[in-house]
Amino acid sequence: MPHSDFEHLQVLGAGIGLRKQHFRDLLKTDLPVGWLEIVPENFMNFGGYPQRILELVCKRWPVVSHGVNLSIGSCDPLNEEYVDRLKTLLNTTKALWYSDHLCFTSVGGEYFHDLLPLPFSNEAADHVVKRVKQLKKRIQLPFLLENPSYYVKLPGAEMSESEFFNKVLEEADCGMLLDVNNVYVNSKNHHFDAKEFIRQLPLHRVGQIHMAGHFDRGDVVIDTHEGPIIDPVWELYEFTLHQIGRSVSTLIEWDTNVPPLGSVVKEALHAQTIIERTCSGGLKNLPRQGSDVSLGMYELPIDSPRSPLAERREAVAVH
Amino acid sequence: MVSLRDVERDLKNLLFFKDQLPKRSRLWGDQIPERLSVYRNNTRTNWTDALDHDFPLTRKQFGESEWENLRRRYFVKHAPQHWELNTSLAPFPRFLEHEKVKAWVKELADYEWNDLRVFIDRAVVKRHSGISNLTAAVRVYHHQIFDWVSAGAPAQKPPAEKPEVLVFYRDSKNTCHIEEADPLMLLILEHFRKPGAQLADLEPVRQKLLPANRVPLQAVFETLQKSELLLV
Repeated sequence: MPHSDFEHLQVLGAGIGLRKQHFRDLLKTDLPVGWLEIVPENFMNFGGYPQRILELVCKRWPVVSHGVNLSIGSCDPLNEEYVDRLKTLLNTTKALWYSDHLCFTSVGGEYFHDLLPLPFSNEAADHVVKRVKQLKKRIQLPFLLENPSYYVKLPGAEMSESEFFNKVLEEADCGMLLDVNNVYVNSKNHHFDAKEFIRQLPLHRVGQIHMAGHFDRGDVVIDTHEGPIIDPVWELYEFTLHQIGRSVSTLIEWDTNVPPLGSVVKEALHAQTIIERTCSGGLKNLPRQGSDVSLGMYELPIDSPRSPLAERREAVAVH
Repeated sequence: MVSLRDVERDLKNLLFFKDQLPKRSRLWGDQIPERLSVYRNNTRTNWTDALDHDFPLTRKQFGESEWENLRRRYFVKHAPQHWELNTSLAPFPRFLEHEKVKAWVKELADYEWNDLRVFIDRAVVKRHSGISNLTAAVRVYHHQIFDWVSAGAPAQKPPAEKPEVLVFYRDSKNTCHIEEADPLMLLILEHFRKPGAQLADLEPVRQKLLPANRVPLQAVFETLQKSELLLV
């Protein structure tokens, strides 16, 4: 019986998300950045400066792709233009795998630009399975689905969230990107035991983990990817690695009030320490920072003057 | 039981900008969960932040509530239709055309959009590719928008009413430029849009279209080459 593609993912240790706030520092850094996750929507529709940054980054670090607008759960047809662009990007960046969220982001050709939850129904599960299979025919690269945070339970549920995930992942035969912070956030908002939930997931399918901060508003905990990761989430992360029983590539996400690069790398190093402490199997395949590529060889267009509105353009292109 | 399609449509109806907030939902009747406001806020703020970000000087021309109302009217009509949010904002300058807005503010929005468009244009700009720069966009304004923008587009000091023709483009080092264009320059750029075009073929065209123009073609050609508006 052939193995599923997610079973052969490289184990990368801890990495960070590529954010425009870090472009300059990242390209010059000596910090131990192991690998990067890119958001494809920040590059697929852009040429010029953002593309140049991406080229430079991919020459130095292993890259994986984490999308936000595949809209796998939408009743709209898969967006062909999006899938084509994604495929091209995955090829040019030599991404090791790609992922998106088990959610929908578009209806009737219009986009929320937010991640909307799906009902835990057979219809929704079957719909997603069909579309993942469609996608896998188009893009021959391991694909992972992430558990999103959700703030309301939709009517029409026929199973629990973990049953929904098991059904989709098993039937679509794809991997899981387990967002530990999302599990924590959901457990607070919907009053369930986070550890029990993790035990119920198809952990053999977990190919990547996300870790992030969040915002506790009091009445609701919001997955904002801001602030340091809190201790209970680190504890849940360590528990998750124990349950999985092997090292898993772990990515630190930070999207709101993004701090200096050093602070994000510090959290990645902490994750690395936990991986090494928890998983005796170690990190045999862990690639190191690309020492064979000297950035001095490349022309860095990062400080060039632009039009009168240039300063904001950089921020626009990669948010 | 409500279908997946109905769930998705209901959430769209509850979260997108509307003239009036729906009081009833197919999923929840009149018991719409309070926590849906998290999604409503995320969705709408993502859209409005992007608009504020992409049109900062246009925004400066309005009072806070006036701008908020304008944004709302815009998104009621033009919810994002693209998976890339900035690209979704392309209709905004056209939307302003039909609004009661000062003529130079409409031109400013067009200017800001083209400035962004050139920066992110997917065209590859390569020296010696033999044609005009594919990122180049020519815009005609009835006001002196360039100087006004350079001065920060002060709302209390509108631009002079005097036509200007601007060309927006990006060079091979990803630097964006905005230059004033003259008819001969535009003629040359148009001529070299066609691969394999020769400068020698242009003289009779210039004599026909710009009979009074005596500027040496070669000199303008070299200037355009140097600026990378021409990649020949």
